[in-house]
Amino acid sequence: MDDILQIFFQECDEQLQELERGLSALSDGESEHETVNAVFRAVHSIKGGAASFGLENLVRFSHVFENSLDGLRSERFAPTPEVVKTFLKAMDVLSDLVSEARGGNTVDPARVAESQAELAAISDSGDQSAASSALAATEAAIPQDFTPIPMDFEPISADFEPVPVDLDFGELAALAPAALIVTFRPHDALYERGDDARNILIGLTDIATEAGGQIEVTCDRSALPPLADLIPGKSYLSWRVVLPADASEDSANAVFDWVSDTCDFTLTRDEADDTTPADSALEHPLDQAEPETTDSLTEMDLAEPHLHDDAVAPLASATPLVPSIAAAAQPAAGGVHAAARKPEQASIRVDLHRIDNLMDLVGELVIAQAAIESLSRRTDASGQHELVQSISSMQSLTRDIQDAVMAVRAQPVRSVFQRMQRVVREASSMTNKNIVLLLEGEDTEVDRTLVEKLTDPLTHMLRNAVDHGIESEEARIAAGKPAEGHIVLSAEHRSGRILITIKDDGAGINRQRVFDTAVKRGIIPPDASLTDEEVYNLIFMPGFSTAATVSNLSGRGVGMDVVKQAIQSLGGRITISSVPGKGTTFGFSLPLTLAILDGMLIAAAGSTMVLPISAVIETMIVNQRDIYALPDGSNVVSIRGDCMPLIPLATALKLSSASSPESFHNAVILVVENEAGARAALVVDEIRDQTQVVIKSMESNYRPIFGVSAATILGDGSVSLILDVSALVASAIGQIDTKSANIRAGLAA
Amino acid sequence: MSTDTETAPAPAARVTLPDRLDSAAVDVLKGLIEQAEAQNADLDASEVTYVGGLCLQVLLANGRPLTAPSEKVREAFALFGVSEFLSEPTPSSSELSA
Repeated sequence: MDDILQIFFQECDEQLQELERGLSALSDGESEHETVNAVFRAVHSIKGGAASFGLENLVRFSHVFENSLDGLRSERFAPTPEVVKTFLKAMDVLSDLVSEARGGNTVDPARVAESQAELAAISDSGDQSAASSALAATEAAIPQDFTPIPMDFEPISADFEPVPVDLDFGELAALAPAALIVTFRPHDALYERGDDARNILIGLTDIATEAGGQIEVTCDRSALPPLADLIPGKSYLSWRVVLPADASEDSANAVFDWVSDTCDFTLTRDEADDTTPADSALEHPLDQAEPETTDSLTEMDLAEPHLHDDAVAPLASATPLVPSIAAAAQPAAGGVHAAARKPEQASIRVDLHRIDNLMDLVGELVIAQAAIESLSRRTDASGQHELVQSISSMQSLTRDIQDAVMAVRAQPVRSVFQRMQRVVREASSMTNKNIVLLLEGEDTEVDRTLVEKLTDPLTHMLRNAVDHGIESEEARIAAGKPAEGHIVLSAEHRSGRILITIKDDGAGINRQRVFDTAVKRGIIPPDASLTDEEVYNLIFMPGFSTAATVSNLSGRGVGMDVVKQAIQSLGGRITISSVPGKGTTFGFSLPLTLAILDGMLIAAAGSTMVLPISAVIETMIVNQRDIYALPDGSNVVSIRGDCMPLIPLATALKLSSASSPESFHNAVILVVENEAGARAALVVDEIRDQTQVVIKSMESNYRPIFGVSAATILGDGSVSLILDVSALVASAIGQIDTKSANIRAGLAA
Repeated sequence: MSTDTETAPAPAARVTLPDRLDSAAVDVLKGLIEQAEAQNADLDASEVTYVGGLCLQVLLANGRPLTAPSEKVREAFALFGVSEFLSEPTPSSSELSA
């Protein structure tokens, strides 16, 4: 049951993505029949699944949503921007209801009711769609367009009324004839798992308390043997519990969610039910939509008739629970649920061919291992040669297996990207801006751990783009831009890394304002001479904020700093470019995996170090004549007409004293590049090898060290440092521009 | 304290039940009850704070009444729908009624 429920939630995620994709397409003006069908199917599937699990809130809402979508499917109304907007809002509510069913935060009923009313209004306006869309085109239509919403809102809220009204009557305490009867008999396995019948009774007591009544518990001891024959771990007792009429079957079912395989149970309504049809409608507003639930209950009844009969006949007299006990059970119940609910298992869906591929490789590995084993027993020269060959082929196999495992862990960034639609939608609504988020490269695959950790930084950056990046509608029109702002969120693979960019068409970063603020905050001295990129990078400094007023969305000056830290902790870098009046582009460059990298083994001052191959552009031996000394003591090298700073690695890492330009003659250099495209030439003693290294965090095992991003253990067991190329390049550029040490340290960090 | 013991009437043998009668305590409980039966001793439930389903079975299968059940025991028996088992006269209440 738990597993099936988890699969249902996974499918919900997929359907919600499908829904998002479809509604985005509709929003972009694509109204193909297949798109509308896909949207309808997504909601329909969620409703069907939710009904099977008795998730009443979800069923109720998706039913209304589905009805509205049916109107669109049958072309009773057109997907006007207003209609799509309502659907998008409903999708957010649906998504939250799925989270709620999963054990997340409870969704505000008023929000659900509001969205339901809006959906109902769309359905009702079906035939008048042409008129309403024509009206919507004029300003005068807007208030009229909104009128049906409060009107329709009323009856919905009236639907919620009877619950407290029934409570006031106090009839439930006396147990109305339509009482819900639960019978259950725990298996031995229930106790073996550490669970207890007591927990079920407490859960049912809670439901009764919520419904404003009490439970009547009767314990069936007919199967209980005398003490001498009693086997201590065996379960003999069964119970019959009568819940108030207002107690929902779904809630009662939920009590058995975690024990469904270790406990027989039935749920029935008292047959002497004489409630009015109106009451029934309240209890089962979606009866037609969820026949599965009723059927499954009936099946249970048929399958276990003896339990029901036994439970009624020789029962001890009923014992109404005193309220004090019900109240005393309350805090315990929280603990029960906490204990009973298993932590959500993280899982991913993987294409079968990827698993098959991995399996094939593992098969080959087993064969290769057997070959090595047999070769290692041979002592002749040809045996030795073959052994070396076998080890070499095993190396390539290991590499293939690693790639295959990476492919299994790889996930498209789509799931995170599509979540961002909602972020932008909500942020735009809060700031009264009209902004469209365009997604590109959603199929780009990246390690699962990265996908999950990207959500928070992206959310913040997009909120920031909406709040500060895109101008107000009036300002945009005044600047001759379209009133609607655009943000493009894209992902792509670039030289072994993933590059995520957030590009807005807003006003761009106000360089002077950023500079002035940084001076005012004491981050930089007033006479600092900074490049544009360095000025832009100041917005990532702790405590920096240019927002004149602190808004709900952003502007406390802590977020951007946190974003930078989050990206850096993933081994990533942030780049910024901005054109006044045209917009700003933020780029996150991240490694594809956090575990392994291809490195070049180099030596400097007698130490072996690792340089990520993705950062190396070329390697060469330089001539003395290509090297130029600068007045500040640094050197530049000219490579095919391009000048770039020369960084003697040993000196930069303070492993040796400064070198003279003469010492660079015939030196081995590696041209390296950081994410921003800035290049530098690293002078090393020699290049030793190229290898894959497993990354071990320096910060978590020791502390951050300038110029070093991580460490690794080489094949011979020695520890080697992995160089932080970006920091080294940033430092060299800083030296050449003679920037103050403060800024350098801040930017390189 | 020793004075009290000397002056008080000789108490009936009592077996004090452990405070937590959860699934882990079921074997111990069964042993204690069997011991109480052998000694014709009372079962003192005054220190019990928790009664689980398995121990409840043992208590119900045993014919001996519980002496001075704690409030938690009363609540648990009510929760399990077996309060009537506590209504049988305990030694103290029988003394009162007598």
